[in-house]
Amino acid sequence: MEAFLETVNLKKYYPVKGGVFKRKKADVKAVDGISINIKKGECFGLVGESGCGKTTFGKTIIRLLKPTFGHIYFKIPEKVRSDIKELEKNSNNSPELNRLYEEYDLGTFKGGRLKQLRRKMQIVYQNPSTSLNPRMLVKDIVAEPLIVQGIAKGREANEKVLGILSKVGLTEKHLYRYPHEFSGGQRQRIAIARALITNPEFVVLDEPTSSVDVSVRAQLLNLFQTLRKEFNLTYLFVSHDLSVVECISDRVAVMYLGKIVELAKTEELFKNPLHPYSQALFSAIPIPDPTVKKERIILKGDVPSPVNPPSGCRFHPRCKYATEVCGKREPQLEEIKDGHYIACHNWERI
Amino acid sequence: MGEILKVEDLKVRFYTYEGIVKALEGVNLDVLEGETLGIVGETGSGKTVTSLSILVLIPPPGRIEEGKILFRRGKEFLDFLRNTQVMYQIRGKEISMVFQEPNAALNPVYTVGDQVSEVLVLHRRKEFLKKTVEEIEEELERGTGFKKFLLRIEKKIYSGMLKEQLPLALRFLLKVPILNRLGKSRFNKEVRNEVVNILREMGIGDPERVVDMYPHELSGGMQQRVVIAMALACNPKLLIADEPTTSLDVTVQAQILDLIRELKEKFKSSIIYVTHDMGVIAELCDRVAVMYAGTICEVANVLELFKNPLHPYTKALLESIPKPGKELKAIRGTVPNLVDPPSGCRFHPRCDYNMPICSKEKPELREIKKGHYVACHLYKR
Repeated sequence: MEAFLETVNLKKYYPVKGGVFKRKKADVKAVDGISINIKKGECFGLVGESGCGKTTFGKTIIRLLKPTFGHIYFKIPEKVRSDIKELEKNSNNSPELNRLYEEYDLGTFKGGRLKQLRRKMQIVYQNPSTSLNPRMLVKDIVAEPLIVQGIAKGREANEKVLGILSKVGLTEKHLYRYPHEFSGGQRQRIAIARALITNPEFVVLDEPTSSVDVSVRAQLLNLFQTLRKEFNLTYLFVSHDLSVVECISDRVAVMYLGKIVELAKTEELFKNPLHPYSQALFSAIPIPDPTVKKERIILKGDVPSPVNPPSGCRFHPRCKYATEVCGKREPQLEEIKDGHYIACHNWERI
Repeated sequence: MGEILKVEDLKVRFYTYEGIVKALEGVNLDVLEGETLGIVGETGSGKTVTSLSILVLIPPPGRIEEGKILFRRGKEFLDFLRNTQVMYQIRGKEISMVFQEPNAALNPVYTVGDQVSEVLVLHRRKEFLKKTVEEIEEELERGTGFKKFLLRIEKKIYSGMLKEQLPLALRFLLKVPILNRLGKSRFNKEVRNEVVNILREMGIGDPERVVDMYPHELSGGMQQRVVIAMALACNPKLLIADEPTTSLDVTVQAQILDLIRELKEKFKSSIIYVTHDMGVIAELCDRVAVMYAGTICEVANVLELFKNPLHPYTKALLESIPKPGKELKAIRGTVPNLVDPPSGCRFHPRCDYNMPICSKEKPELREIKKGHYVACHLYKR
């Protein structure tokens, strides 16, 4: 399958300013070199603890944030991609390469082209009560992307809004209401409707179920599945709730301190995590079955600050398998089995 | 193993502008000695209100309308709902609470040491005074000259405080700047040592440094450890943990759960663990109470509840846990607004086994099997 969305060594740093003239003192390395391929039609799960850069990655990939470094390619013809690879190999700064970057790399997009892009890529945020404008009616909230993008206006827009609302399980009577009149689950439905109204191909779901209850969560997850089939969507599902990710994703990447440490098919990863961090993470999920007693791997200490992450492998200060090389050399993400990638020096030993 | 706490027919109302929110409607609950009781339910089901009312901490406009909260002390049960004096003695000492969000539960302008010692000074003051007096006596034997003179004054002050009758002269002395140190420094040092000990027990690395830190300097997991330290400072008989790990990451959650389990074994206290996460319940609890819209709908042993859930809501709740490769069964509809709750059984509009009687009569919680209580008309006989 061809790459639908590809990131190459994507980095996003936030400057920490301070001192007399608010000079840059350091960088928060929120996303630090991520290269992944997302295939068309799949649901790509991204898990990790808070502060590991999941959300930043999700926002950068749809260009709500400008990457500090790296490239993002969205639906790029295979020929062009191989051309770019060829050119990158030869030199780093040829005019031809720069031209291709400007044409195809989302990281360089500006203004009008970015607006065009927004039509194809949308996001559903974590907390619907803050991502919906409390002073706008539902019909205006959902129609806003249409008006901004110049797709439809007036009655036509209204019809489209109705159409999409019925798809997410809301009806005509909800049109003239304000967000505060809805429950959390319904609000999230409005946010989903708003994201889907421009007919996007790629949707980032940034912890869409973390602010709702268990029973509503199940409703939303089912909704995501049906919408994916119906609209032929591709998801990037960002979450810290591992059971949800396990349920909805095709492939899952585990992130730790701005880097991907392991990437594999969901089943494979949950059954057989190889990276010590993923092992600890998965063993920490409480299983809703009192008869199962499992061995927990309890990590010592806290996640280090992303301002100055540990040298070498970022997990090595908390890793019980750490050897000398871990503190010195950074492990690269390599494919060890079919579709199972891992960034660890000692995975064979573990 | 007897009951340590009995909650009987508790009714709590919140008088808001939108109307009267009937937050709790006749909640009955027993907590046995040494057990971990889990309370599960969705948002707005009254889990937190139940735990707050056990400590009589319901904030206005809420009010406890009816009901009894009986806490066992020795052999008799004390109803401290209407007895403020007893309540002040019990709250924080025999029953204490860990709140949901550690950074909201901690005061940002006081250091960790200050906040933990507040509980200690309130409930264990005499103990510390006694210790200080003993320490001074020890030093008196070695002291000479002026130092001996100071030590004597100090001893007089502390033993006066202990007996709660301080001579007028000494009371005046304690008002004088600099000299008032005589009545504080040793005591504070004693308390501080104890705080450091408690923090160390909670698995906080380098407690001597953490004592002087402010809450914002700590990570979420550390903050929660501090809150737990505050709750356990007086070795309570009953610890109420109100979603202590909801705002934390899974790996940190695993750490905290481990800590709670360890401490329970050590202090032999009972725990009421409030959560919405069935996974945590399965791992930690002995018995479970399922709450829905201000009522308790099922109480049973964990194994029994997961194997053989009786109430339709419990069944639905267990089915809505995401499992890979399975179509998720969602509960239709949403949690009802408690200003105007459904009549009869509060779950009936969302229930798959809805019967005519359900909307008319409120089902009572009754024992179906041994130790398995259900409030549902399906199990009448």
